[in-house]
Amino acid sequence: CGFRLRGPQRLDFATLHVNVGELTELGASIRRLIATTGSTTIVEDAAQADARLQILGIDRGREILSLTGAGKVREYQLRQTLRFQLLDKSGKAVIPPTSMSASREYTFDDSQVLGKAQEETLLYEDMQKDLLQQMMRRLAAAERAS
Amino acid sequence: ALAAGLPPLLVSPDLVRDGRGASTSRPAAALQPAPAKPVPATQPVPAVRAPSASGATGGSGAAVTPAPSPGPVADRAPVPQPVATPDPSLAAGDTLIKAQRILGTRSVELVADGDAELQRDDTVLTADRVTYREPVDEAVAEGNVVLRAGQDTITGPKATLVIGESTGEFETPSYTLTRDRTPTVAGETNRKVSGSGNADVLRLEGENQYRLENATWSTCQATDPDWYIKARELELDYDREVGTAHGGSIVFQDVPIFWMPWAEFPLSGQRQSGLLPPTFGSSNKTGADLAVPYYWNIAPNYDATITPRLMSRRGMQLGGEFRYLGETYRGESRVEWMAKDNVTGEERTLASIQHQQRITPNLYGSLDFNSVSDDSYFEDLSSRISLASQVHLLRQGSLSYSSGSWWSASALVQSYQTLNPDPDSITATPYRRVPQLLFNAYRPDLPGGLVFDLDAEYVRFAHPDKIYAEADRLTAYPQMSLPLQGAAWFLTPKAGFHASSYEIDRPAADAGKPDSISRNVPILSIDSGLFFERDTSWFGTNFVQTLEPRLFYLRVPERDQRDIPLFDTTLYTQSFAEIFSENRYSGGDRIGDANDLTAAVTTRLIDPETGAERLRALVGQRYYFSDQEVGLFEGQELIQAGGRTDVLAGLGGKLTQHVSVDSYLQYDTGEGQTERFNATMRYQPAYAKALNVSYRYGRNVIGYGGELGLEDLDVSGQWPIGRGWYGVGRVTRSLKENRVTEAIGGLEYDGGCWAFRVAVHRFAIERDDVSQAIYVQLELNDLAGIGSNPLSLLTRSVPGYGKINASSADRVFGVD
Repeated sequence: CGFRLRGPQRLDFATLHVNVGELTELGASIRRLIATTGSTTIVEDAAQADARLQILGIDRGREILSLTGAGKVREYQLRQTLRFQLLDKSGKAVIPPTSMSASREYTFDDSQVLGKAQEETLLYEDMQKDLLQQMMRRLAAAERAS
Repeated sequence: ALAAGLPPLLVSPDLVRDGRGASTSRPAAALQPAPAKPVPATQPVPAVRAPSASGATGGSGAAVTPAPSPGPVADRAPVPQPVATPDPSLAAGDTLIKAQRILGTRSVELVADGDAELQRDDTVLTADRVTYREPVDEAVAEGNVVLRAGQDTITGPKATLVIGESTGEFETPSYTLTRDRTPTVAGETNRKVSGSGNADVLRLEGENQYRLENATWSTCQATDPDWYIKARELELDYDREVGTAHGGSIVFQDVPIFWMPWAEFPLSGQRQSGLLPPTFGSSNKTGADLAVPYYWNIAPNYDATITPRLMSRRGMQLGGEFRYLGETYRGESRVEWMAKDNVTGEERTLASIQHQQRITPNLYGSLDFNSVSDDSYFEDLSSRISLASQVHLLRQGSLSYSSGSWWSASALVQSYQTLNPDPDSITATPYRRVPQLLFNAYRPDLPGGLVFDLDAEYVRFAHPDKIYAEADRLTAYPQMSLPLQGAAWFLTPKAGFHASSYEIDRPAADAGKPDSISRNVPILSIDSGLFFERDTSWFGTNFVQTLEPRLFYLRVPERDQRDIPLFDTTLYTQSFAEIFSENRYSGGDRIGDANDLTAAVTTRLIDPETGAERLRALVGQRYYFSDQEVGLFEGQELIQAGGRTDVLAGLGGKLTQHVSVDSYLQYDTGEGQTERFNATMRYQPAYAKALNVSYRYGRNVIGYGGELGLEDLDVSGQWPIGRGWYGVGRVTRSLKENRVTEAIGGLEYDGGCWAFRVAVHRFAIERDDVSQAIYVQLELNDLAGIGSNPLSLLTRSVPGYGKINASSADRVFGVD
């Protein structure tokens, strides 16, 4: 049916600087993803890098999705937004500030508030993985466009 | 030495320096700073119309440059002029004067008459007649005066200005002052905000500082603005971007609607500072509800808001909010106080403190304390659903230390105030964590690509109610994984050892059970996936379609955990995140036994140009090789969960350019029934034009009083209905309980530089009780909203809602 194994998602730049430290969970995840491209290495000195990936912000929030007949929350929706941009050596935007969102739903029970806080953590981690994958596709596409 | 130090002055046509009527000695552009001793012109200066052919005149070479004709003085609100375009050949700091006739004495006083124009840097002053006194750098302009500086325009019949200092005075001017609004979020597009109006007198008091008498100010562009601020004295400070009105009022459609003896207001639409207009609304709980906030700007980094609030049913409430920001700390405190509620006859109070502090570069502390006087506080006194639905109010203090390298630690003390306004539905108080200590070590950089992770926790669970067990729990969970990843695959084998020990103080009823329990569980997992892709085309659009199978095997041996009470543990909601997690329980009191394989396939449609994801579909299932033995409670139904093999499926994204869907299905193949089904469809053909339909079904979702089952139908939307009017609404109907749990209806009007909104909101708070509120708001663009604000309600309740009076730069529509 035409499917083939995905080739390396080569990026258009040999070296990349990321504005998130390698010892943070986010920084380590981004570095692992960049390593799979086979084309790009991470450098810690921004001045040396062909391109700079800037994580502009990660916003998290939750909204009430449904209520019980007694006005208590039955389901929450969690939403996470990742904003980033990619700059070239001269500081020109290769990818202008881009915002991507993911959301997850979970059932809430006020009598389980401690456990539900940890469920939020699980879902936020899942969304973060998802958003980083989407960001990688955009980084790879930026190479094709330019 | 009168003119010493002044910048070069270029005059066009220049003064006559000899008897022939035109300067031929040297071009004006070459004139050097005026000599220390004034050199008077050799002759009384005749009115000279310089020949345009003369190359000896002004630097621009154009001897007679018709001044741009200023707008008629009668039309006092100037049409925003383009940015002043000074003569490009003019050097920085030089002054150029052009007119039909120039009279006077260089270095003393020049009179430029007829289409007079004075330029320096980005300042252009035009008038019928300009008198310029070079020694004091002063220009007196008369007749059709137009001053353009940067993006600002001031017009009037007469002005006296000191050009270099940006000081001076306009008589009966009209003005338009424009600034770029600095984006609050990095990467947001800039937009311009213009304030305009007129005054009896406008004084320029240096760059970005204006003081006006008997003045108006508005963000409306029209000559006859729909609304404006009118003030006896008005200060516009474009350094702080704050306007201050003394003896002012807000006039809407020629009617004064709000009087203010003193008020600050934002000049560039930044909402954090400035004018706080009254809010009013009405609800069945409070009656008519009027709040008049008073904003007190104590210091640049401290402010307070004091809000008297009058509720016709309940009486007077006093609220206060205090915010502060320092180099190493920030915080916000809030109190509300009612001496006596006329309905309950009691004193009612609220206190809330949030404080964050950086103690050292690596050590952070935070405090979050919330308290109300009684269980019905929010139900009775707030019409906001996010507040009214609150059950637990957090009270916690925490310290966290990040070493900046591979480890971090934190300490937390946490308890909750639990509100139980409804005696038919009592929520238990959660356990207090006094304290919880966490230690995390993370090394993603070990030899061979190994990743080491250690989570360790000590926690003391305490409970105010003595029928609950209390305990000390100590947990250590070291894990080693080897994430292997290629472009088209990943494989992550992982092994961990979860060790915990409990010291439990049991209530009398559980006397027979052990007080010391230790539980050690090895956890093994292998996560793996492949990525395939192909080029495809749907409805004439090219996409890259991916196919991503994923397999997750989990092996956790069974441990008897029936003697461990549940302190912080609950079952996760089943979802795609949950079926790939190591434990089906959150918290540490249950480690679910597992010998199962989860398989899932995801397919996505990706825009090949940008890499943006347009649509995704997922399907997944878990296969159990053996029955599950570990349940939350002894002998409860979840023990049989091992027999179930739920299929999970999801579809989300954009079906077409205007139609998007999000859906989720969970189907129990063992019982042959649907566990969960959610489907949401949105049609959004334009900004502020959206329709949503949503259906939610959950067979085992726990509802009111422990009843099972959820079935909701939800319809919402925002739609233009013509002539600037928009309708907005939402209805949520519980099909299970056969009642409307939430309803919103609203109307909005976009008046160009203002908007009007009215919204009615009704939602269930108890089985036989609802909260009903009406919100009325008049929003003056880039100034303030008067009346209670339904915007957050509409944004939350109506997916795709667009603020109708948002400037086009702020409109985010169809983001991906």
